[in-house]
Amino acid sequence: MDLILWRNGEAEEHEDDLRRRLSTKGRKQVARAAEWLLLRLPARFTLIASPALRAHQTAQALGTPIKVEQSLAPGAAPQAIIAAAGWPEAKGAVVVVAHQPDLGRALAQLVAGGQNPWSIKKGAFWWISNRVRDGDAQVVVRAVVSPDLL
Amino acid sequence: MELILWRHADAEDGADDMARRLTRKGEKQAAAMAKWLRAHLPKDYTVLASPAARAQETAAALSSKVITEKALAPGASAAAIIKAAQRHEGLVIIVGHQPDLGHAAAQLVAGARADWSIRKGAIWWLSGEASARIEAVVSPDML
Repeated sequence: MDLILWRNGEAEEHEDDLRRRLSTKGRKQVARAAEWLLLRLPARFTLIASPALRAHQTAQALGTPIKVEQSLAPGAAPQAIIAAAGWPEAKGAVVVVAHQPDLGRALAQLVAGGQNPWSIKKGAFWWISNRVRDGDAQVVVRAVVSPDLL
Repeated sequence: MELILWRHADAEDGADDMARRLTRKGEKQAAAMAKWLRAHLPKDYTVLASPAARAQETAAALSSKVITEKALAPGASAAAIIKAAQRHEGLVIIVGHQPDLGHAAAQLVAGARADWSIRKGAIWWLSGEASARIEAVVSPDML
């Protein structure tokens, strides 16, 4: 399967963390990332987002129905993210929009079996896929792109 | 340290491993990645390449000032790759081979001895010393 872990774009401050909206810069970041992704994703893919408004607004840029997963809210454990994505059995491509350091922890675990969260910039995404080669299950990092590189 | 690990592009088969040249597809991959790199690189950078023809041809797509490092030939250890990069100031691009570059990436990012997959013609852009950050990963089929 292909798994895209996408961090929300830059957001404004708000006393309620779940209601923080994307800033103007954040909206531009996610529009650029979405344009890049839509050119490369298969026609049909699954889109899952954290219930936080900034994640929902980020996911909206892909123009596809969004499945909101409570378990992806800020503070999500790596196992919760991996389970929500259906890794590694799901078919096709799954895009998960959530937060840091949660996504970075999931990545460190998936790619390196490590504990320390990896850095992911606002609005950036990681595209990984799994394959079996010589009897070994491998994780392949296909792309890591941040909006400042687009 | 800022380091870009660049795996040579698709190459022809051949009995002499060091003499294998890029295929047409490989030439296109190298040109596409060089174009992307030029759009994102700072003004000054150093390009180090393995002496194998496929690495030399990949590096030449980006720069005419390529330093050939014998230590980067196929079979290079992670330590040899990291040492070659550390001898230069500023951003260093290393054009080399698998599984060698993947070993270096695993060492720098995760402090681990592991086989990390890097696709033909792809780049891994890393920054920082111990537990390096992965700034970008781009493969030619994603351009």
